[in-house]
This record gives sequence, C-alpha cells and structure tokens, in this order.
Amino acid sequence: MIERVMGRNENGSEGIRQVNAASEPAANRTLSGNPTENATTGRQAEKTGPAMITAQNIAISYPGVKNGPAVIQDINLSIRDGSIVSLIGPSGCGKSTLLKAIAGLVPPAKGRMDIAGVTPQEAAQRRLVGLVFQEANLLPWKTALDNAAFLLQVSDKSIPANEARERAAENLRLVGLGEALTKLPSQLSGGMRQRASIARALTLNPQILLMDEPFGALDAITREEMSYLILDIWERTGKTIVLVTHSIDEAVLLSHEVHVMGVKPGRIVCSITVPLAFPRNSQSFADPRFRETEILLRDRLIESHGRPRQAS
Amino acid sequence: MTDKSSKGANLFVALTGMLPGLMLFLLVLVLWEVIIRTFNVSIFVLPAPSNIAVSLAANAGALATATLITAKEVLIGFAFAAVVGITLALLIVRFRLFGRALYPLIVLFQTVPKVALAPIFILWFGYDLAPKIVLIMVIAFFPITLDMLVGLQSVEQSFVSLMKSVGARENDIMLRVRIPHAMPHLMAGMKVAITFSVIGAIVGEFAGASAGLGYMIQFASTQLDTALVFAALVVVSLVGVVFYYVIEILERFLIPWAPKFDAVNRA
Repeated sequence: MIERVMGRNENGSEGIRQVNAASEPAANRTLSGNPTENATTGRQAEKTGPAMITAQNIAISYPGVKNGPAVIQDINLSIRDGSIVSLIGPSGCGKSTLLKAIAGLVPPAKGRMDIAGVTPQEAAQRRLVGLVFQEANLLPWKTALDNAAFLLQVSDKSIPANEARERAAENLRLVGLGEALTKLPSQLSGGMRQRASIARALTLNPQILLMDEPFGALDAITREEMSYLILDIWERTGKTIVLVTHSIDEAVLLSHEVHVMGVKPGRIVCSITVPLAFPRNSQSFADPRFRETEILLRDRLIESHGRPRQAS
Repeated sequence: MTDKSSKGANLFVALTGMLPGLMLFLLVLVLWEVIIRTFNVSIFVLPAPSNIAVSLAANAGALATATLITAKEVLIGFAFAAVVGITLALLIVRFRLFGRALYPLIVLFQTVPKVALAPIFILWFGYDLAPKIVLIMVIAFFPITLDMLVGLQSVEQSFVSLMKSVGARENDIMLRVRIPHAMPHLMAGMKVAITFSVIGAIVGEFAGASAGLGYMIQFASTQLDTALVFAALVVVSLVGVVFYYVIEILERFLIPWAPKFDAVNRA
C-alpha cells in the first residue's frame, strides 16, 4: 500500500507537466482531421481469445428521431473473448449508449453488432450478457440472496428456486458477501450493495459482463476495493468485461484495452492497449508503464474533450 | 440497546412521544372551558368541553348506532375507491395509449367539486347506502390513483433496462417490480383517501339520510342541541383517526422494508 502511494507521488508532478506540454499539439492534430489515430503501446493482451463482441459501422440515433443527429457513429470494435475493455470519454459521448447496444437494449440505426456469433437481442435471450449499473438497483423488499437470484428467476422460470438461490449464494460468496445473504439492501453499505448487484449479474452466468460506471457512486477507497474485486472475478471466471468509466486510473488498472470516445457525434477517437501484465493488483500502480499509459490516456482524453467541429 | 429491554423501551419512547400532543390538547380543553365559563357563553352558541362530555354520555347509545352506520359507509366506499384507484393506475401504466387518453379526463374530473354532486347522487341512487358509497368513491379514488401512479412509474429506468436485458416482459416487470415498488406510495395515498372517505360519508348524509353521524349532526343543529353537534363531531373525528391508524399498522405489517415516514421527527 505504502509503496504504491510513494510510487505515484514520485511520478505525479512529472506526469502533469508532460500532459500540459503534449496537449497543445495534440489538440491541433485533432482539428487537422486525424481523429482516429490508433495509439498502441506495448504487447498484445494475454489470456484472451477470439472476438466475443464485434461492432461494424454502428450508428445509433436518438430514440424516436428518424435521420436525426447520431448519438454514436462509425463505431468499429472488436472485443476479444476473456478480455477487459474500458470505454472512457466525456459526458455525452455515447459510452452508455454503446453499452446498451451491446446489451441489446438499443437497436442500432446502422451497422452490425455481433455477440458470440448472434445478435445482441438473441444474446440477451440466451443470458450471454450480465449488466451492472451505477445504481445497485436492488429491490428493497428482497434480501441480498433473493436479489442476487432475482434476474435468473425472471429470465428462466424453469429453474427451481432452490437452484437459483444456490447459484446466487455462491456468487455472493465470490464477491465477499457470504455473511450478508439474509440482509436487506437497507442494511448494506453502498459498496456492499454494488457487490450484490455484481453477484446478481454473475448468477446469470453470462459470458460478458457489461458495467456502466459501476463505482461512480462510491468513495475513492471503496472504488479501489471494487477494482480489485473485478480483477479477482476476472482471474477466477475469465469473463469478457466491458467497463464504462470516468476514471483513468480504473481504466488503466483493469483493462487490456481502453477505447477513448469523443463527442458530437459520439465516436471512438483512439484505442490504447495497456501493456501491464496480469495478474494486476495494487503493485501495478508502481509500474512505470502504468504511469506512461495513464499519461497517454489523459492526453487523448483531453483531445476528446476538445471543441466539437461544426457539422457541415 | 439489547433485545430484552427494547420492547419496554420502545413503548416508553412511544408514550413520551405522545406527551407533547396530549399536553397541548389538554391545555386547549382547559382554556376552552375557562373562556366559556368566564364569559358565560350560551350553550347554544358554543358548548364547553364539559357540556360535550355530558352530551356524549347521555347520547352514547344513539351515537354508537350512528357510528356503525357511518363507519360502514366509510369502509365500503373506501374499498370501492381503493379498487377503482388502483385499477386505474395499473391500466394507465400498463396501456400507455389508454393512459394518455384517460389521465387528462381523470384530472378534469378531479377539479369538479364532488360535494356538489351529492344531491344528484341522492336523486340517482336513492336515500340508502348507495349514494354515499358512490360519493365517497369519487372523492377518495384520486389520491390513491395518483400515488399508485407515482409508485409504479418511479422504478429506476436502469432497473427496467436490467429486466429487459434478461428478456423480461412488461407483465413480469409490472408484477414483480412495479407493483411491490408502489406499495409505500399506495399506503400514503390510502391514508389521504381514508380521511376523504369520512368527509364523503358526512357530506353524503347531509345531502339526504335517515341515520348516521352526519344525519345526527344535522338533526341536532336543527334542534339547537349544539352540545350534541359537537359530541357527534368528536365521534366523527375518532372514526377518522382510528381508520387512519389501522392503515398505518397495516403498512408496518405489509411493507416492513419501507423506510418509516415520520411527519414530525427529522433524522
């Protein structure tokens, strides 16, 4: 713990200077029409397989507006089986919309989305996708156990209640809530509630875990604990994880690859491969490559916050 | 606090919690009595609390009979209001087009002064129970519909997304999420509705009745028996209070998970 904090302080001031120096030309590059530069550093991610999620030329318009301005446009993505991928970008860049499209909740206006060889809607029907939102969304009248079993029971009425509960209990233990099975949400802390909502997603036994700013409402220390929990879950289950986040730290610590998104229309500006080896933990912060990636990412993120170009 | 002592302690807290209200009530009664006696106010204009107490005792039998009749009207009318109110809210949420068509009409209807309808209901439904029940229903369904609607609609959008992401149908979401989620709101609406129901019953009896507390109030005022008017008013209020707390107790049993609403004490 101490070692990590010291490591961050050492590089901290230097890092900020580098970002400031780099931001000006970077912004100019964006304006001169080279926005989708693919910046990759380091080697390919380990332990990951063929594409689990592919998006080709995906565009999504605001609901109910035909031929209106696109929320996201020209999204091309390939997310490998068993990898952790982050989407990061300014508010309104359509990160959540893209996540919803992967979950089959929002139909794309254009392009093709493919989840493990099927459409997102089909993937949802087959419970290939588990969702976690910023709000834990637990039902206040159900215990942690019943909450964790709830979605499985809704999605498959043929599963006996006992079996659903057993699976839920197993996942609650996995996220560290083994002692809180019979507690109501009002008796749990914010972090524990979010753990329960992760257990609920895992109980579906999905191949893909989609997380939309899952730790946005938590304090800094709890956030960090939750990051380690995600790494732990990934180490144990090897699930494909797509994470929407505002935190550069979180994106670098957790991801094989980070996609930086820009605004108007929402699009992927660049994709950065994180060169850190797994397993990752609190020591990863001390790795100089962590700082390097973080600086690069911050740089690209500042670009993506730049003034939108006027639509012609 | 340990489990053993908590029961007694809770009772103690509840009793001391009632103390300020009780003290103020007694103080008002004493002041009232003193003012009536010092200024020698006629019993026909404003009876003293002691006069009302005497009248209560003297007319206990008649008041009890009238109470049963009025309470029956309130209960049946309220039950109809609850069924109509809940059904309307469910239909509005479940069938959006229907909701869009119906909701403005419900609001429009709510702005009609229903008290003015009492004589018309007497004309349509006669002198007995029916016109009172209809009047109570039209007065009391609205807060139930409104609160139930709020409860059904206030489920987090992301939770609905979560349900849809596992292929849940609208009926699943309705039955397993929206309706239980709406229960605390429904209970709040029912508390408002039960007090409206008592008002509805009394107005209904004013418009035309041969029994009940409203009828007694009207009859006593024509006889200039103001003490009995007040005695009947006391009983009417008691009926309202009892029904209100019955709902509150039901609430604690039905939805123990809901955060307790406390009108006075802030966290």
